[in-house]
Parts: sequence; C-alpha cells; structure tokens
Amino acid sequence: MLTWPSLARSESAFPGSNFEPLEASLNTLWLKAELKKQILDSFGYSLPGIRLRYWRSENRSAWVLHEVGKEQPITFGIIISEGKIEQIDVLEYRETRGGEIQYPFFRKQFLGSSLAQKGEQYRLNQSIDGITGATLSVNAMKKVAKVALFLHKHALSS
Amino acid sequence: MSKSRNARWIQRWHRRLGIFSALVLLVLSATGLLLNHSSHLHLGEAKLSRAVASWLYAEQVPPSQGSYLPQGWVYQLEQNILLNNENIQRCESAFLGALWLESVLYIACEQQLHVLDKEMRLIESLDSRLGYPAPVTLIANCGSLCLQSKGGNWRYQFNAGTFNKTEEQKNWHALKKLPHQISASAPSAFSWERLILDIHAGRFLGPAGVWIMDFFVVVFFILSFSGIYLWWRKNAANKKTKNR
Repeated sequence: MLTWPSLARSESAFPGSNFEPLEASLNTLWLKAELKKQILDSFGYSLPGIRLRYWRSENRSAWVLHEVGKEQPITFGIIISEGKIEQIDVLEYRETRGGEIQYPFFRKQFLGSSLAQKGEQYRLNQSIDGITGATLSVNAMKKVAKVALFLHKHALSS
Repeated sequence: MSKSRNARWIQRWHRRLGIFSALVLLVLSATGLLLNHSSHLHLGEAKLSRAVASWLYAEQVPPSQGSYLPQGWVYQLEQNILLNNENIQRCESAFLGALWLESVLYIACEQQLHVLDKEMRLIESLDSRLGYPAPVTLIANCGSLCLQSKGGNWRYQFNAGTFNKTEEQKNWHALKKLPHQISASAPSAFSWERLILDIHAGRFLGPAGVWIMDFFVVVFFILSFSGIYLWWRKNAANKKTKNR
C-alpha cells in the first residue's frame, strides 16, 4: 500500500505543491492510435507520445498532463480515486495571465468530480465557475481533468 | 471664414492627409490581414534567417556545438532542438547531446530526456517527476543510454522505462563543433509573426515608432470625421439643388 505524503519535500519534483505521488508505483500506459484518436475526438486533447507514465495504487492513479492555456503549456498534476478527482494541482504555470487557477478556492471546485457521458460527449458532473481574465487557463484545467478521469478509467480497465 | 471656404479648406487638407497616410494605411491593412490568419499561414513557426534577423533585430549568435548522427546534426538553438534545420523537440535546459541507439533517438538535456523513434515520432518525454535523474551532466552510449548526474551513473532501461544505478565507467559523449554550413543556415529565434507584429505596431522603427503609429491613428480619426463631414455637406448641397 502506497502512501501519498501530504507535504512536498524541499527537493520535491513538485516544488510548492503537495502533489507527491511515489515513484515506486510508476506505471506505463501504451497510447495506441485508436486511444489517442478517441481522446482527440472526445476532448480535443492531443497526447504527444507513444507511452505515458502514471502512478497507480489500487483504485487510485496520478497523472501529469500538459495543456496550452493561451500560448504556453501549463503542467497539471491530477490524482483520481474511485473515478473521482481527489486532487488537482498546477505544477508549472508559464503563462503571464490567468494564474488564479492555481489558487485552492478555484481548484477545490474540481474535487469529487467524475466523468459524465452523454452520447459521444464527456463532461464533468460538477459545474465549474470560471474566472474573468483566465478563461483559457480554466478551459485547459477542465480539459485535463476530463482527460485524466478518462485515462484513469481506461488504465484500470486494461 | 465663410462656410464654403471652410469646406474647401477641409477638403484640401482631407486630400493631403489622405495621400500622406495612404501608405501607412496599406501597410496596416496588409499586416493586419496577415496577423488575422497567422495560425493558418504558420507565421508563428516560420523563422527569419539569421542574416535577416541580425540585420533587423540583434546580432544572432550562431549555434556552435552539436551531436552528429546518421540523420545529420542535432543541436540546440535557444529552447529548440533541431535536426539540421528542422525543429524536432524543445528543451528548457542545456542540451547535453543526442544518441542513436537501436533505432531510437535519445535527446538529452540537463532536465529532460526525449525519446523518439526512427520516424522522429516522440515515444516519451521524461523529467525528474518521471525518474529522470536531473540535473544530468553527461551521457554515453553503453549499449543503451547511460547518464551521469550528481547522484551517480545511471542506465536507462528502454522497455521498462526506468533508470537503474550503474558503477560502470563510460566514454562520455562530447558535443562536436558544428560545420559552418549548419551553423550559418540555422534559423533565428524570430518568427515572421513577430516581424509582422512589430511592423503593425510600429515597434519596427524603435521606441519612437509606436508614437509615429499613434500619430497616424489620430490622422485616421481626423480623416474619418472630415470625410463624413464633406460627404454630409455635399449631400445637403445636392438636395438643395434638386429642390430648386
């Protein structure tokens, strides 16, 4: 059983964040062409590589995903537990505007969200209030949250 | 000044200002049109040559070192990693070298490792979060990829995707001097989009350029109002003539 430390160490790979999944549980998800296409079609999210690393411990998984806000990629860390978002962090924010998405008041809206499907469309089952002036960063966070939930379901079923 | 003299004076200056600012209006329209379609035209990715960028902007320091592979030279230019003149990856830290091992291309930087297949498709990018022992200082061909970092020497297991400690001493890879033809033909860091944006905003002419553009914007305001006024006067005069 792996533990998930609540505070990052000073030499942490996730400075300033309490997102600290342990290396021992590192897994590989092979990104087959049809999976990449499904994610692109359903979420508009392009996974760049052929394999993706994630952390897993029983029904929990952790993902590091990148998405461009306006011009620069934002790095997110998402922990999924029992098909719901347990934790979502901004690990690296490189944009000049829209950094409000890093604040806990915004991120906590995602906690407990799961993926709801209606036909071919996927959405979060909880509504997320936007932030004026940070629309693109908010959209990027919503997108990676949905992709992480989808990848969690896929990884656990495969 | 009578009303007709007043109108003639406005007409004369409207014409003069119109001719004076026509070229600027054409430049603004053309650059604005290009910027509107910048992503379709890939202007953000298309780079100016180093000679043009040196002439228009600052002196461009040419890349000096790289790794020679069967496919050509791999080197770093600002935050981009290029194979010959083609951008293939991005590294925000210093480039350490590239190795071609068993049909896999490894591009190693201090903080990141990119693994590509023979068709230059990315297999994965690894950083310290994913076990890459950053900051890495040296790389070597040890049958697979070997790395040196502060914590010791490491061997990358491609299939498992893990880094295992090793005590072996390696022949560490050293970057070689780039041939003149490669460093001379390397693209600059400035895109065509940046150039067009600088022309559109007037920054192209230095700090004063922005004020010059502001001046022309005021001229366009005046022209718009004087044009409307002249049209209204002419319209009113035509109606008067018709009513007679």
